[in-house]
Amino acid sequence: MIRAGQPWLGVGLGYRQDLHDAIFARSGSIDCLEVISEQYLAAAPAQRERLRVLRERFPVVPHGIELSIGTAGPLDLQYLDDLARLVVAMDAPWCSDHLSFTRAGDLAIGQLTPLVRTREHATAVAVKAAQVQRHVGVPFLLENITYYLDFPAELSEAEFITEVVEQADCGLLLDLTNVFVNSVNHHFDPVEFVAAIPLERVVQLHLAGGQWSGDTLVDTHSAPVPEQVWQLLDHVADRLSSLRCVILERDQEFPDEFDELLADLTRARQTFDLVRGG
Amino acid sequence: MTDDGFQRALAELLTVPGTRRMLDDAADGFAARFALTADELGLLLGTNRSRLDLTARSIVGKRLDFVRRALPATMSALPARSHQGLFADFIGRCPPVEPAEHGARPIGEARRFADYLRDCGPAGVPLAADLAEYEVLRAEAQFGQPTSSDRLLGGHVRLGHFTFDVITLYDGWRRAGRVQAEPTPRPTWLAVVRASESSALACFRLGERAYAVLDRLGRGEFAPDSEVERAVLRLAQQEGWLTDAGC
Ligand SMILES: [Fe+2]
Repeated sequence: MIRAGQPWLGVGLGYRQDLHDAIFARSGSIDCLEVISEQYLAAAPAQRERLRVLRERFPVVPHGIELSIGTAGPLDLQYLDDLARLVVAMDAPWCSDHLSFTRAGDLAIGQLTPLVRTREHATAVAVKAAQVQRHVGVPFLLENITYYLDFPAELSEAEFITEVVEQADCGLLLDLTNVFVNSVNHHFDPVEFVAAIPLERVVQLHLAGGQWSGDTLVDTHSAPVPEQVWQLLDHVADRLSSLRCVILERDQEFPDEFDELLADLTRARQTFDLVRGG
Repeated sequence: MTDDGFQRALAELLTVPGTRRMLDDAADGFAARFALTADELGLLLGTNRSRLDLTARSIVGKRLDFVRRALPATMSALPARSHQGLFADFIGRCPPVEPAEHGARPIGEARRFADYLRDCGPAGVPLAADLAEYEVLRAEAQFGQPTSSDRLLGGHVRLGHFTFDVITLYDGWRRAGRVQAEPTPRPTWLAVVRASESSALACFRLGERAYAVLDRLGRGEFAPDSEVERAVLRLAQQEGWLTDAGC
């Protein structure tokens, strides 16, 4: 799943172009970056150059949003070829995407949409996750998504995730904010949830902040990490034996004061300094 | 896997206006259209409608964000008061059909909006339609691959013809942050070209005839039958605009 010798990359940021200057101005406070894979698959010169600049200063990991592993039918081999090329070009230690679907028929909805959680579907996704891992040649991590729609099904979300990653023997990108948001919107206990998934497979964490829309908490990546997510982090931190990286996600409402983001990085880093005895 | 019909039905419910009315008013027809089992139909009928709305709004938000980011000059050419109505009409008419190339969703959305302005946009937006086409061509040239095209022209070369002088208008927008109001129409033919191994774009003004020759190359159909046409072909060859198939 993850090589034992794979080093700890640290606590970093999801790279967004809007943040570029601030990231380089405060690079000493950022250990690593995560880029959206799809923005670099076509390898146009501008993208290649940007990736070179980022990699010169930071360890960088790729994170996909359009693999659509849950779409019925086979994976897109062209996509896998492009991803494998990117992984080699970046010398990436792993790659990741979401346990969801974003395409159906000829529609590309661009929304991480939940699957119906049956054993049959878990097995089908696991087969494909194993295929991604073989094709790309580095560990593949699946991320738990935020979902607003939910369909009553054979398996709970925690059982479904566990089935998929155990069968595929792949890693987990655990988004703690997604766990919290889902626990609020779908009325479950987030502590019970994290107790029910294989935490030893978590290679990377995501943290972010959301906003309310009516009676629903929405994962907008637009606010500081909420206190409940920090508590969840404290709860799991010393049980993440494979963890190599923590990424703070911020996609909009970028604060005037970049320190607001750095404060979240610092808090996460302190948590793991304690756990790792640093 | 979640069955294909169920996923297609959910995707349409989230992105194609009118689909939800079909589910509510004619469930049997809806089930037949997507080959849904009774259980799958039950899951969709039982969907929390406000959450369905929330998810649909999130998709619309992302699509419009792509459009705004990819087409800044176009946006500044459209009166701010018209944006909301125009966007609503665009979303209603143009579902997010998958773009051909991976990683091209922002450009795909911008292309869809440019086509919408050209084909279905309300009267009074020809200038914005021209600018949108120009901005999309620039993005397509930026990301297009010189060699991986089945056209004779490389993917880094994009052709367009316009009612207005988009090069001057776009440059004016870059300098002043706004588009000149009510410019005089001036038919313009051009090629947008990305220099090899760089991200620099160059725009070449073309005569109508040279444009027509290159356009035929772009569509993969070309057999030069005059000295002028052979001269255009030579120029395209020298400038590195052709794929191997075109050389
Ligand atoms: Fe995430």
